[in-house]
Amino acid sequence: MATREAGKKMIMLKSPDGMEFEVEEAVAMESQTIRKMIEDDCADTAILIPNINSKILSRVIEYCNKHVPTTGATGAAASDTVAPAALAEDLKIWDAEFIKVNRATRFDLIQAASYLNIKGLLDLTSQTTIDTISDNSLEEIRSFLSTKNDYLPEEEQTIRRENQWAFQ
Amino acid sequence: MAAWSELPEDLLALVFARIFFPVDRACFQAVCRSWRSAARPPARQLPWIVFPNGGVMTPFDRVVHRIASYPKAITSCVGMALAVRAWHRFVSLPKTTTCIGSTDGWIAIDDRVGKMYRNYLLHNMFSGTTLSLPELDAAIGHVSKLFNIRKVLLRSTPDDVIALMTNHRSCPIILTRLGKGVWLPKSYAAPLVSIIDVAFLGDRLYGVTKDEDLVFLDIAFNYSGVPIVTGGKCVIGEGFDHDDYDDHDTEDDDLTKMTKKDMVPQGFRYIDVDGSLKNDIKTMWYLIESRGKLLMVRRQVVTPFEFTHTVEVFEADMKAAMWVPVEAGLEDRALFISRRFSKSVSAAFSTAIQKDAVYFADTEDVFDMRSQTVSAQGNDLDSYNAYLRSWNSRQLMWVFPPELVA
Repeated sequence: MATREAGKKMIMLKSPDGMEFEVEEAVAMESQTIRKMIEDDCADTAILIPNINSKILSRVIEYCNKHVPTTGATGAAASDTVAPAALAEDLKIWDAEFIKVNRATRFDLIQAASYLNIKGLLDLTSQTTIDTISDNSLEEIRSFLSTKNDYLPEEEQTIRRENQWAFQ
Repeated sequence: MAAWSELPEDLLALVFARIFFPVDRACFQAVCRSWRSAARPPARQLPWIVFPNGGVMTPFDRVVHRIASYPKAITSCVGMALAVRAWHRFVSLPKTTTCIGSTDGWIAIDDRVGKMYRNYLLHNMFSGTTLSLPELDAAIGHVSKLFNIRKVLLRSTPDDVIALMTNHRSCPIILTRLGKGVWLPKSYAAPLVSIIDVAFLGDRLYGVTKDEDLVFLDIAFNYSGVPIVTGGKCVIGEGFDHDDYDDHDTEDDDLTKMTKKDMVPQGFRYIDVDGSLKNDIKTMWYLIESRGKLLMVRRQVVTPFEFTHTVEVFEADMKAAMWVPVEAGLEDRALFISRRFSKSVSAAFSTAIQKDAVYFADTEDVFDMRSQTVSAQGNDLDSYNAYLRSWNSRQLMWVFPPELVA
């Protein structure tokens, strides 16, 4: 166990715009997609992450760094002294801060979470989207998500009628 | 600017699957075509279990959804259909309020204003509509703190007859109708005390007693449109007859002064083994309408660990005046049982609903009528049970999202 700090295996992640990020293997493996690549031995030198630019990739790595199980990152002692509930609460607060980004970034993050298959980040970005739906009127949701209403007026009437209880 | 309508369909489907509140699912689909095509029916939808404080839990995810956006000014904005989205997401009630009953998607709320005054409200957890019940406030708004409501049952819509069960001997059953008035039983109360559960079958109200008598309560409307019980008739059994009882002692009618002797006994009985009462198994009874028939569920619960031991389901054969054991199953339905509200739901509405099963909100176990076995729901019973034990589990009630209400 003494060699743990020194013996951490590092992985190189590359974004399509040419930036390279050296991260601990454990952190990278928060992504099920990368985990699979590593396990299949397709990750000798560096892993190219397509479609995710360096700005978003660095945010994703930041997220994974925070969420990687604490025993690996700070040693076993930390998890013994910090109550799991308090730790979870701390993470929630951190997540709430993390996701306070503009909608373009959020749009990129949810796609990155989906492509890299990071469950926690997908939960977080999905929930933020759901919150947007909950807190706004339909017109506000559309404008916020830059989504055009492509329903014909009569179609929209039908949808509203079907779920009348929701649009009262 | 990135358009969210262009997100891949499988990603949109993942987001949709994470939506908890039905109203948000409806909005999601109304955004645009691509969002609508990504929406899949919530396959594993189960009714909600609602706590007295308004917390909501679904039996399988074990996550208690509590979003503290319930407006404090609840009593000042009642009576309006509220379009404010925040209402749908309410789940923690203010400290002065308690959830006292449910019917389908409606919950009944008791808001204690001051030591002895209460306001009663109906709130639809899905549409967000809140209605005050001023007639009920006038009749039972000024009561002792021992006074409790055990059940609030809507016959159909909120402007139709509402039946209540209370713990006070002078008014064990109350009827009300929004904007019309309240009927308190007064001198008829004594026989009604023996009724431990009620259910509507069509327009008609029935009650069941611990002796398994089935009682038909005849509802009529007086000249001002107030529903009143004009009489009671025993349909099964013979223990219940209005004429057998003396008029109720009117001195006990003061609802502001209540002692333990004014209380209606609890609706269960410890089982009798060889003439001595054993207090580790209790029998409870529930009355439910299912497919136009009236069912009685007789259930034995092991205490103090509170799990379901045996379940028997009977159907009322009114012509033969007897309870007939239901052995052929529930015609593809499932029963959701709680002290405050029970309902029969078609298993076709959700793949999570097992047909011919009886789900209990308080012990969170399921009785399979075919295999005649009881099983616990979900896996992480320990942490869940620890949480549940901190509540009075008898106060838990089922609430049904619109997708599960026929």
